[in-house]
Amino acid sequence: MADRRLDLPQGTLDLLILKSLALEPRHGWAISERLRQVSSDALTIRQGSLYPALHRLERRGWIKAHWGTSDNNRRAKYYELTTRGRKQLESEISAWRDLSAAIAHVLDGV
Amino acid sequence: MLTDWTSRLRSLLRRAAVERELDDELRFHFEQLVESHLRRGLSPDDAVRHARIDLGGLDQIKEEHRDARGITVIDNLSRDLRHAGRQLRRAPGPAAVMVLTLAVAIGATAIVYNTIDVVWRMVPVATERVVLVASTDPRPSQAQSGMSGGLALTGTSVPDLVDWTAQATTVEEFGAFRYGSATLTGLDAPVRASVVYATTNLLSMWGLDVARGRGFAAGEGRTGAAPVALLTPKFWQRQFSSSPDVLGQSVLLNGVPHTIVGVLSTKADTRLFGRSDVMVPQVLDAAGTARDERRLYVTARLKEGVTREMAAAELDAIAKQLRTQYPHTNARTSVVVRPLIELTGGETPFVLFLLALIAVLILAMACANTSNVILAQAASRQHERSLRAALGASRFDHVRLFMIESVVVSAAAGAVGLLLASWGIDGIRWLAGPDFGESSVNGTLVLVVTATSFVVPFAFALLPALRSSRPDPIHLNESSRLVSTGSGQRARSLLVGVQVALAMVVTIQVVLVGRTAWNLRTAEYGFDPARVMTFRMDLPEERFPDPTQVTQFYTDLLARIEAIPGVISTAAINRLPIGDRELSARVTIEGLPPVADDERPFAAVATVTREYFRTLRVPLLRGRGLSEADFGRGPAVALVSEEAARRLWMGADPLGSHITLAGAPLPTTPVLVVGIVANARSSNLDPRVMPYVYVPSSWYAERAMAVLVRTDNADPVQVAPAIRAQAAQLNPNEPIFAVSSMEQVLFEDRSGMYTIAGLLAGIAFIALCLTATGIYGVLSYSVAQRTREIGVRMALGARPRVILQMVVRQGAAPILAGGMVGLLVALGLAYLMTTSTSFVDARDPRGYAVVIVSMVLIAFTASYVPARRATKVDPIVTLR
Repeated sequence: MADRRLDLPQGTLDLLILKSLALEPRHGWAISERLRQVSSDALTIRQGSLYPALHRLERRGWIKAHWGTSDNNRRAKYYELTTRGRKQLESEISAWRDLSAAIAHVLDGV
Repeated sequence: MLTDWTSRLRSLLRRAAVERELDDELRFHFEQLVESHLRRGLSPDDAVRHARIDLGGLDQIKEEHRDARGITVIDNLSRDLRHAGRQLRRAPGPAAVMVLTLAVAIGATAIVYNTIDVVWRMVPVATERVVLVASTDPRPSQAQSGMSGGLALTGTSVPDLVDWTAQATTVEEFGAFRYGSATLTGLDAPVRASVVYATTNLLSMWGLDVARGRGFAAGEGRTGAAPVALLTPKFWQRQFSSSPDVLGQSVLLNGVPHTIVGVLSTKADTRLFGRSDVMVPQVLDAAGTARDERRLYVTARLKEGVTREMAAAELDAIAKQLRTQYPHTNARTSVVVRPLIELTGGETPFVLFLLALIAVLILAMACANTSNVILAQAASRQHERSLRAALGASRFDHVRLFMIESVVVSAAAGAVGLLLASWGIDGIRWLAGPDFGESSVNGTLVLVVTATSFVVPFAFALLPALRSSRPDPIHLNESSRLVSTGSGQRARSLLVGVQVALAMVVTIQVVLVGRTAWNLRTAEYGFDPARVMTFRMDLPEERFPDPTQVTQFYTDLLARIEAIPGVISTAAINRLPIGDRELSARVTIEGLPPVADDERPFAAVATVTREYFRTLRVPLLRGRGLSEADFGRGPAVALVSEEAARRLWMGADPLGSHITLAGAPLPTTPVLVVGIVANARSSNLDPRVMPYVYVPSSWYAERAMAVLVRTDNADPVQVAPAIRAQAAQLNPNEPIFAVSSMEQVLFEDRSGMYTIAGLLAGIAFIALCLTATGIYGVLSYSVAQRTREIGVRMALGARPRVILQMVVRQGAAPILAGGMVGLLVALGLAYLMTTSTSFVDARDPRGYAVVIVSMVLIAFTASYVPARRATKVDPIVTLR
């Protein structure tokens, strides 16, 4: 199982966080669970790097945070996308698509 | 970007709250993690353990988070600041020395800055290319201030200015003004107003405006125009309670109705116009005034591209032409063009430059002294530094720590310096009076002090910081440095020598001037100023055309004053002793061998009323005093002073001889000398007495007189309201002004000297502080460097007393050398001052003794403190 886990390339964590918030506001734990589930455990986020990343995004104004109540009635900090964050997500997705397509192209071509 | 900074700021301001939120957030995550592990069937202990592993160190996350918040720098800074505070507290002595040194220097800089600022603002000219144009006169003249290049600058006459205006092509426009005074009536009570006569274009040319109403119109400067007047803001407030209704009102100036058309803006309220009350147009009519009545201060706005030199060349050519055209009045007159600031005196730019230089010098010395203290500190903290370097502190860390410590010191010094400066400025204002203008601690000054405090550490601390921060962990187990390297020791000794010399020179001058000032305070004036009040009146020619009317008025006035309870006697004189410059005339004595006109002796001529000598208590020595009959139609008489009798008669008896007085307005009829009175001084600063000739006020009636009133009251000015009432009853249109006690008159005349003495005392204080800290710094450094050597000496049996002597002796050489040089220079300077002025007496052994003894005491104390520290060196510790 450990062999199947991939390390995240530099800079993609932000993209994944933004994407996971695209549908609804989530708290930190939910984001990490969501990413694990969606990637079928293939992607592993170092739990410790999640929060610095969240606060970095918040500071850039792409997400904003508010305190709310979690499913099990606990106080939790929820993050949601801002308008600017949504735009950022779109441009990062297209950038990522272009990049991976280009890399795939190179890999196939050679 | 903005959100970024607000978030950072929020992080910083709400640090506790942000940390708590982060804590809560991470705990929530942790608990969720534990729960998910439990769900997978782990035991509670294992679940917690795995959660910890998964999440990584909580503290590490928090640290990362703080880094991301960008407050590490500030956190570090506050840690460094705390560290600096601890270091300074650990060595309070050196810290205090550094703060004191820098505070004195920063305070001095602030005062100098403030002074320059005040002087610079005295001339309220906002426009460019405005220069001062002055006539010069090679004859020594004291009528107007300012000696430049041996030429006395004088004002300019109206006809000359009219000719310049007509001919000059390099000048856009001339603007001129002169001072005068007039009686202002049409108000509740008549007042004496100081008047500025300004050309109608002056305000607009200088870029000044009016706060209310309008300025002068161009036509109002012509003869025959309807007279108008502007009020200065202070006068408007004082006389009219700042009422806006004043515009359009009419007041009488010397009996001529003037319409008030405006109020000057407060920008004009500087020394130049600040003490004036009213501004009226100066009429530029060449026919109206004499060509040698040179009273106008002329400024000129040069045309675009014209330099001062070009304007000077052209105006000089015009002046040459006027010289041949009017040889009678202009034969010796030429023109100079000067920077406008010289309106406050020809020497102003030089004095300001000198002040700035002194400030820089003081700052530089304070920095050098502080540098030495820091080096001493650094040397004794070598071990601590090596340890840090060994533990991985970078050189940058090191320099940063060092600089932060220095900035803390400097900031403290800035605060203390600001306090010193505010005291100093208050002192100067108190001494110099309103002449110094408005000055106070303002925002700019605080800014200057703050800037200075943050700049100077780079001058005094950066070098020692870099020098002592060479990363060198080797020092940890190094036991070398048994002997001081002596590098830079010579430069340091030189510095101490120079400071001692300077302090010596300044302190000696201060003591000499101070003693002169003290002697003046207790000097014999030849009259008794106590309990005497004085005021002035000036009767306008329009209402008192006949001299007998003037005499009659003053006779009546004095009679009324004499009747006031508490008044012992009263008298009037044309020129108030000490307060006024005396009127002088050449004296011809009948019966003595004739001398050439040019060589006839001068004497001061005073016209007095009968009770003058009794009122000021000037004793009659021989002959008789003035009697009632002398003020009638009888033969003209005079009294002469002892000095006049001695100098003018040269051994002959003055009593019974006839003299004639040759001075512009005086009658040329001979007068009979009937008595000799004691000498009275006419000037404070000149201890030599003038020969005096006193004539009855009826012989030559002056319209402007100073009245003296001897009272039985310790505060003589208290009779002023009664006098005012009597004067108003006698004539409601003539104001009394310049009401003061005679003692106040004496004080004001000396205040210039007090200012100089005060300033010198301040500089001497600074010089002594710097010297003390200089010696202290150098010896501290030397002791710190020689710690091991001293330890060895003590281990070998040297007694503390020997060590003490050794250190003190080391400091003594530069101190002695500097002291000798300083003493010689001071002697030379004092000798120069004694010969050029009668200000100071260079032969004042007590003064020198006081200075030498105090310098020795200061030098000894400053060397004793570090020397004692040397004796406290523990040989065991230093040798280990």
